[in-house]
Amino acid sequence: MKKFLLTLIGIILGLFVLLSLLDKSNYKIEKKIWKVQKEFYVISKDPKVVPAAKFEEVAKSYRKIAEKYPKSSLTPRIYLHIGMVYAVQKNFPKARAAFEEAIKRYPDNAPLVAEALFSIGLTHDQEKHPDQVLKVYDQIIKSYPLTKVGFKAPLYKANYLMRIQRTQEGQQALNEAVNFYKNIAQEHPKTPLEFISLRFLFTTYMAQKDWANVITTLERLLLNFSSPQYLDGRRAEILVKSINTISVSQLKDYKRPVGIYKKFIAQYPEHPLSGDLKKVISTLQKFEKEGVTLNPRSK
Amino acid sequence: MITTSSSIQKNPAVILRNAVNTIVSNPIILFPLSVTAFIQILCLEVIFFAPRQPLSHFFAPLIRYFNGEIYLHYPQNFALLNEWYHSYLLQYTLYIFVQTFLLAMMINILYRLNNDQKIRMKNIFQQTLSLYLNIILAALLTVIVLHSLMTLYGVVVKRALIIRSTSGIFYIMKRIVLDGSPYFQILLAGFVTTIFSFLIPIIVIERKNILSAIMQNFKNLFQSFWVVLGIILLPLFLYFPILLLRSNSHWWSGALPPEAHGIFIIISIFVLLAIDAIQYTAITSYYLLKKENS
Repeated sequence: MKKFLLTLIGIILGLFVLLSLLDKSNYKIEKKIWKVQKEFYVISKDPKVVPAAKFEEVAKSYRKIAEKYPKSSLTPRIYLHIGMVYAVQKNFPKARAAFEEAIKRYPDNAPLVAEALFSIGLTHDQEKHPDQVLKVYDQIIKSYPLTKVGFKAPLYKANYLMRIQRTQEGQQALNEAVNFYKNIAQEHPKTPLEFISLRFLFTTYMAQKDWANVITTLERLLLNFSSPQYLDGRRAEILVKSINTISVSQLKDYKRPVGIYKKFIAQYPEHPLSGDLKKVISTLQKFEKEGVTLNPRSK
Repeated sequence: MITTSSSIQKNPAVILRNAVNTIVSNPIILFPLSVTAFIQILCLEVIFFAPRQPLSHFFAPLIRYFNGEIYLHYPQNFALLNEWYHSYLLQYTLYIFVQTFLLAMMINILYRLNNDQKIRMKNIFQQTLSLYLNIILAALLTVIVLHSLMTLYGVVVKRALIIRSTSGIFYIMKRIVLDGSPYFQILLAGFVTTIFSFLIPIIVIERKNILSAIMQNFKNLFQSFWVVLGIILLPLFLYFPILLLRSNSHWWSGALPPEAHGIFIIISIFVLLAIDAIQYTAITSYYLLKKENS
């Protein structure tokens, strides 16, 4: 019996060792990063009371991981984490140095470079260097337009200008953002890039309070991206609610949403949303008949 | 001999103490349960390594589909470990096809020890295997009843969730139902174990088919319901500290590393097996004593 039990224990341990040795994933580095991140989380709660040495210690721990696993796919982001540690400490020159190090080490990693540039912009923002902030945003828009950060940059730039009271330039930036998203949508029709561009275009038109174009953009989103990959239940609900609310409260137009939904039903009669849209159409027609109006400010 | 007294002991605490003594003096009783522990830990190990290469080739699409990308990474892989290991699919499958069979082997060992027979694992395995169909049906019946009661309890929980009171009797009822949920569930499991407690011993010892065993189980149960309930419920208290820690993981999860979740599962495997060993040794001894005295 003893021999048998020892064999069972041996199998368990042997399998554990074997699977650990065969594991070529990022598990070990994930574990180490998580532990340092936990420390980072603690010090970022109240950075003012944390001694400078502690920030250095956390940054050093990150660097140690990066040096130990230079080839891991997670390592590039560690340099961004180092920058963030210094940014939280408000040691902005050191933070920028870390972000620049990331750019220097991984110049071909467009999403990382865009994020590092964006983080550099944030440090300048904190130090109230508007020209530097705008320079960084422009660089991202020009060089990394199709990255996650690149997509957001035109809107960030416009919002930033509005925030620092440069309203006229902010409006101009919004117009540029409209062109930016329109161009990407045109250059990449029927792709996820067009989908994302239209979503940003919607946000930009909302910021401009250009309601007619908001509805046109939502119509394109609904009619051109009806597959479940894009239009899941939650998104469909938000989309329909937005079309209804903006059409009725801002444009005082019941016919516009009804027209959009009729087009959708004609185009996709078997779509799961079509049944719900028929009900929405009859409700809207009933409201129009009864003269129900919505105050834009009412909830 | 594991049944030493000619008069039937009716105090569950004494019966349980005797069961523990029997196990201590005959550790071979634990042999089948150690195989159960091995299989459970093996499953745990596979789930632990599922998000990592090379097992991720097979498991990663499943994890992405059922849980999400984040569960492939540290520390969420421990949440996955907890969820998958405790899933009905795994636990019921193990219980129906493996655990109950090994429990039946343990009962067979106890029966042979009681008859002063030599313990040969191969013979015990073969003899128990010949009863496999009846054992599976008994386990299936237990699982169906347990799952039905759990579903019923789920309805009560759903009803409690819609109580809006923030004070008074309804609020107290809501809190009892919601906060006591893990404890009620284990007590329900204890109750179901009680009502079918003689089923496996009868199948193994009397070599009866499932229908006759069910009838004889209830006959025995009606004669000694409270004793059996005591035998089943008392050892369950050993599991309450683990239940307390598991249902209040927010207390300690910040202070302990995520690996603690895995360690708790391993501890709970051994505690539950210890409970099974004590309960079934006690029930089998009690059944054999009753049989000898009838």
